[in-house]
Amino acid sequence: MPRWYKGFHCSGLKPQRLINQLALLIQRYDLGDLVPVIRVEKQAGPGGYYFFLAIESPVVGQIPEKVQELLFQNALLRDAIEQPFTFNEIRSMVSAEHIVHDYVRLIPYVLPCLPPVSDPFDEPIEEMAVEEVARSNILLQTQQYDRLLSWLSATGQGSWQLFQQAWQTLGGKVRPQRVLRQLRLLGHLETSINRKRWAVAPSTIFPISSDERTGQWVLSGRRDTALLQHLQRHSDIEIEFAPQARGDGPATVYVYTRSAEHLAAALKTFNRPIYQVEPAGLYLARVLPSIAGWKQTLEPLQGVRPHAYTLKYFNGKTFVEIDFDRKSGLYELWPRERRSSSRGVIGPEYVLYYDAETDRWLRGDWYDLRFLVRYHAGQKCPVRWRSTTGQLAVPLHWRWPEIYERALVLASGCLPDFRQGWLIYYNIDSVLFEELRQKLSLDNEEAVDA
Amino acid sequence: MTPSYFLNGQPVRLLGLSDDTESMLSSLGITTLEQLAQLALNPAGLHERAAIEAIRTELAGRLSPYSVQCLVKTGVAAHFIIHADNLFFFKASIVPEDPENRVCTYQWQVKVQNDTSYSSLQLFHLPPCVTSGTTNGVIEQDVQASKSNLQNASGHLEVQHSEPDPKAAGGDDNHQAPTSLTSLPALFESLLTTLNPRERMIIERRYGLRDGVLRTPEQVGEEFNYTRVQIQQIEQRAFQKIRTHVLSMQHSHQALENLISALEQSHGILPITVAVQQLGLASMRSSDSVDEARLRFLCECDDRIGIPKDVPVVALRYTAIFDALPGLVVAIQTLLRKASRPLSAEEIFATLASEQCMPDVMASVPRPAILVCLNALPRIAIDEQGRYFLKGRTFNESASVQSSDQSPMQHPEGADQSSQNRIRSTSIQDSYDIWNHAIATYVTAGVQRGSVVYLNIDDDVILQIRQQLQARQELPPDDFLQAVKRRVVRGRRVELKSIYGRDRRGEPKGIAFLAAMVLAASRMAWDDEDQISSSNYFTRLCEVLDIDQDEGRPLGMRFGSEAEEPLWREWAIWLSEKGLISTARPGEGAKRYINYPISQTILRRADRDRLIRLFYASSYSRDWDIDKLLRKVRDEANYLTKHLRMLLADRSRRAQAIAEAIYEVYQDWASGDASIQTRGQVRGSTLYAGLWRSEDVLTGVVEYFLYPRSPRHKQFDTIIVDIDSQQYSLIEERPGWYQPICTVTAQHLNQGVQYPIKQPAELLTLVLPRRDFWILVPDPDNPESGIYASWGTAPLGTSFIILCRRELLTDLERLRAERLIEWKVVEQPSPLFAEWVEVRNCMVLSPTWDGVEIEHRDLHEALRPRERLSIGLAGGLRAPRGGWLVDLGPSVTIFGFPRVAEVRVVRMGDSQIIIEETKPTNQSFAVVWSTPGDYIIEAVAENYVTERLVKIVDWDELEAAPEQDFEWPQIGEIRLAGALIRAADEEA
Repeated sequence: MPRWYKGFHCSGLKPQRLINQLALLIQRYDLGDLVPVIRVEKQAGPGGYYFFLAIESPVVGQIPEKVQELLFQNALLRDAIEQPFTFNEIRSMVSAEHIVHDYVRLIPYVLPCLPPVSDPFDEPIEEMAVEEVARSNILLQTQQYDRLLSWLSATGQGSWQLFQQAWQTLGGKVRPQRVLRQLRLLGHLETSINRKRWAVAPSTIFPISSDERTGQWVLSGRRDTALLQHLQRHSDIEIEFAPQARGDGPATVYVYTRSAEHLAAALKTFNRPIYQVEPAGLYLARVLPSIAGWKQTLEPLQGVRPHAYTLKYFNGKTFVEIDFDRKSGLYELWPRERRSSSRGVIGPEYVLYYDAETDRWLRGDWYDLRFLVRYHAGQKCPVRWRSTTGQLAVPLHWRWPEIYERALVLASGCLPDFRQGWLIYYNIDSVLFEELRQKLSLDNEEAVDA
Repeated sequence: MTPSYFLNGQPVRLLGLSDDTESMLSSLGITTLEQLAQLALNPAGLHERAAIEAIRTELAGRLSPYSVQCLVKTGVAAHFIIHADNLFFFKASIVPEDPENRVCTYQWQVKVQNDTSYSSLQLFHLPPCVTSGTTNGVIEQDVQASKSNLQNASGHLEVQHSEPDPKAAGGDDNHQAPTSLTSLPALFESLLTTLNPRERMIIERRYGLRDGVLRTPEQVGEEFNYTRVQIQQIEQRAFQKIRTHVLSMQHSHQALENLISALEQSHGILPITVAVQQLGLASMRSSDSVDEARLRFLCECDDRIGIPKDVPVVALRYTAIFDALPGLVVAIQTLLRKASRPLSAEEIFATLASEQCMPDVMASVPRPAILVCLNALPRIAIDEQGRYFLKGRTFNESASVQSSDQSPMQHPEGADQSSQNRIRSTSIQDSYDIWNHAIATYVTAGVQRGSVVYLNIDDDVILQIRQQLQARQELPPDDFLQAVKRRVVRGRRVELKSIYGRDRRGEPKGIAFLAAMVLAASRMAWDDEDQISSSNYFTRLCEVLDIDQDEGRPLGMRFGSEAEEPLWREWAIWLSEKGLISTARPGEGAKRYINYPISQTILRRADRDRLIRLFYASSYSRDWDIDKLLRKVRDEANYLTKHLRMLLADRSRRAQAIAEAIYEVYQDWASGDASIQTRGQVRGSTLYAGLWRSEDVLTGVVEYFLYPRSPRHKQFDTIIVDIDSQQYSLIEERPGWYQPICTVTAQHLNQGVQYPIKQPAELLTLVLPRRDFWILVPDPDNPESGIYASWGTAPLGTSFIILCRRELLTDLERLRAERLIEWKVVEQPSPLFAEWVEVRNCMVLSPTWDGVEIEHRDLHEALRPRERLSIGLAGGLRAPRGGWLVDLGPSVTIFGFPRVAEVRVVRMGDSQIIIEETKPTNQSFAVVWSTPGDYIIEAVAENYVTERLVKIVDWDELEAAPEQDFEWPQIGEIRLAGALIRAADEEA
């Protein structure tokens, strides 16, 4: 059925009131299908204005009987123009602002819900929350992390947005950037250098030596119920799920077995590869480069124009505004105009390390870059290592670059505990400690109460 | 001294855990110590791990600085152990102890200096609510005994329980189930958990799960004061529940799966004794009768296995052997009865093979399986030479020796006729199965997930399926109707029992029979719809099945609800498992059951003929795609039959199926010969492709790829396309579509493109048609992925992209001005596509399109909504292999033009209604998706109906993804992947 327009003249009633009243009438008589649209003249003069009703009828100019009987008897529509109009004939004179009303039930237009956008490097500058975690929260958080790891294992790989979305759907309260770091520390996940993509690491079982867990192994990387059940079914193998001390990561899966051969035999019969490797923490500590070598692996950000930003320089404690004089160090780059960043909050656009030697702006997470600054400033990270217990204490405000910290975490398979301003890592033997002490120029204070 | 206690029947609260932990355990379904012990059976499960962690964390906190370990050990028994340094040792075990039952045993060992230090642990206190006698007597008795035992801190206490009184639980679903006093094996226990107390008690008695005595329904009925029929109904309902849930019961499911794989490795048959061992029940040292009773119960829990009548073996129901066994046994016993001497196995095989009608059986039943059967039959004995004879028979030894190289049969021609008939009836089962599978494939091949499916079978379709089978050299000896008849018709009766359930492929066994029902409906399709009635439908059905009956339902199908309706339900469930929606619906009143088959016929013969006349009369081009054809047909709808006009006006989700049916008629016509003999042969020789669009989120660069659509009704193992002298093998991306294969250039869009198909010969070209516009909708399986493709029309409420030539923008502006559509932005996809623009975030707003005329009527037709209601799903956590994860399902929005809609959310497995209420349209609402399974959401408003499936998966069902290429980060001289470290120059 063609749609055409019937014109009317109105005076003494504001257009909006007219529209409201007509809308009510059309709703009342359920004429929405026959009179779907109202258009009003753009500029109402003192002598009134024209308005048009769109009408659908088999013949242009023929008013449906129902409309004639129910609607056109109303006083609002007394002053009618005889001739019918097409849309093109009235297009130029009617307003585009309030032409149609929702008395024909329209589906509300909504923009699609887009995945959250945030910077995977955007680790908050404040230190991680150190308050005591309630036991019930530990359980809840552990379950969330376990589920996340199950889901990541099943998904395989994906984008940073997908990771954030999954974590938020699971109800995680912790920032997804931190979750990503914890999973990397535990050897469950890797990211691309720009952190836009992630992939779950291969299933890997490695032994942890010394302490009460002697002879035990740890499972890292992708895991699912089938794998865990496979291990469980072997009479020579026992597994244990140990939540992280603060519930800030998935439970560590400890594997107890009599010998590496038993384990190898069990893994061989599983239907996908499980890598059995030597102590991962120790091996990683051995092969990691020095800080200088590691710095080369940080992502250089191209096209940064420092003079387009207000720069704040990290003086070891806080950021202070300076004029850029090509001095190496950690900078916050604030937009010149005060506006919210792409992340929707007022803040710096970037936090980057400027390497004067190579004239490059390097990107990394907050802990990485802060350590780099202090290292180049000649400061030594104070640590306390107790040989008898294998515990290593690192000051919270000296948290290490992720890759070096990973060596500590893999030594025990669990994330550090926190006590009185110190991060406590377990199962750190002398060889491992010495490797890292040299590479990071650590200052081993006398262990008093680590 | 380390005391050790048996604490069966005790609540978890006996452990004295905190309220937090207890409530967490309770939320995981753990309220008793038996249930706690079950943790040992599957400690790797997420729920189980959560429970173990809850206990461990609490005890670790309470007992600090001592370290607490929670371990699971498995061997003959499974143990859940809590160990706190040298303080205590707690063990919850599931051990095979009793000859007939496994008893959960709890041991509590405390190494303490005195009672004070023990009580300071507060781990084993007795809360007042237990000691005050509020719990049932058995627990009270146990607790008091345990308490007394603890106070004495000595030795060993085992509480004896009395046999429960079945009457106590009978007849009342709300009655509290009596405490299990003689604990059942974990396998049975887990299977029975879904039952209410009455069902549980009746099943336990009927199958002697506690005492090993198999009882008849009459006997159980007498005990509980029920009739035989009532007992059978309860039993039927109970097994329906168990079968529904058995997949989610990991332990039971695994045990049954193990048995089935053992059966599969043993030619589909195992003696009962071996099966019992396989299920881990052998250690009970039970008698044969006990084993058989319990095994019968297990067989009822899984319709893939069964115990054939009079044969003490378990066999796979979906193999030829199961149906052949009874006949085979009769034949063997007849053979041995008539033999003049004991027969060796080889002689038995040879003689059976030479019997009339036996070669088919012998071909379908492997010899090792016959041997198992021979050895298992109680009436057959073996002599010292390993030869078989019937027990009680004596032989003249000399006769035996003399005749050793002659036929041992005294009267080979005198074989029992009835046994031959039985064997014959089983030998044709392959024909039915082949047709069944072929029809299932024909109907579902190339159908996109979320589509509605018709079992649209008529004579033409049967002919086409026959041609497909012939081409694959799989044509069975029996024609379709002959095969159906032989499977279900016994004399004048129709017996459907053998086609309930699923076959070895997991397909419903009843599809071919249902197809025959639809065929009957299609043959009556010339009749006026108003004249359709049960009587004339069943007359046609009797004709189709060649049953000598003038009117009414065939014998054996007297009640639709007990005959064919379960088959339709199974069909709907199977489709839903594949992400498809069945259109078979019951009718109203007298047409309730006949509406199922009648609703499946789309086009009738008269409709086809009228369409073909239209194609000739209007000189239709022979190379249109489906959209163009439909547009033309709609323009000339007045020329068509009333039924066709009604179909074309359909704006529901059926529209796509209707369009495809019309397009198939067109393809037959376009192939140049629409005669019935060649229909379908040339159809589908062209493979059409759509567009797949991806966008780089960082750079905004848009790319289009060729996205081939799978052909309908056919499956090809390999399709090779030649694209610019490079050969591409098409790989299925999802049902209905192959993976995108090559980029689409502006020239392809402007002019269309076609590529030759090298293989198979029946497909000729892959075509990307020339079009003025493409509608690209978000991935229906993952709308947040950012991928858009030509997956059909966008459901209401969905934002889509129109990729169109620039000149169409005027028309689109007109539609926007009329508030029919709205969009956010218009952009050129890239400088290379100068003639094209993308209208992004476009949505249809209004249903009133009739009066708005635009220049490009194709565009108008493509955009106007075909439906008045649709169901949108948003949010939640999607499982990588489809569906959502339990408790994290999507929110639901009923998009539509009516103001409100009646919404029902039903769990398909048990028909449980989750939601049934009126909801405002266009507003999302939450659904509690707390149980894994398949759900159907139905929305009804102003006579419009829409449906959508939602699959909810359990966390334990998640499987690790296969390892994929990933660039391992390089740090200095090494590359890293988690804890795996490689040298930088080593291949990752």
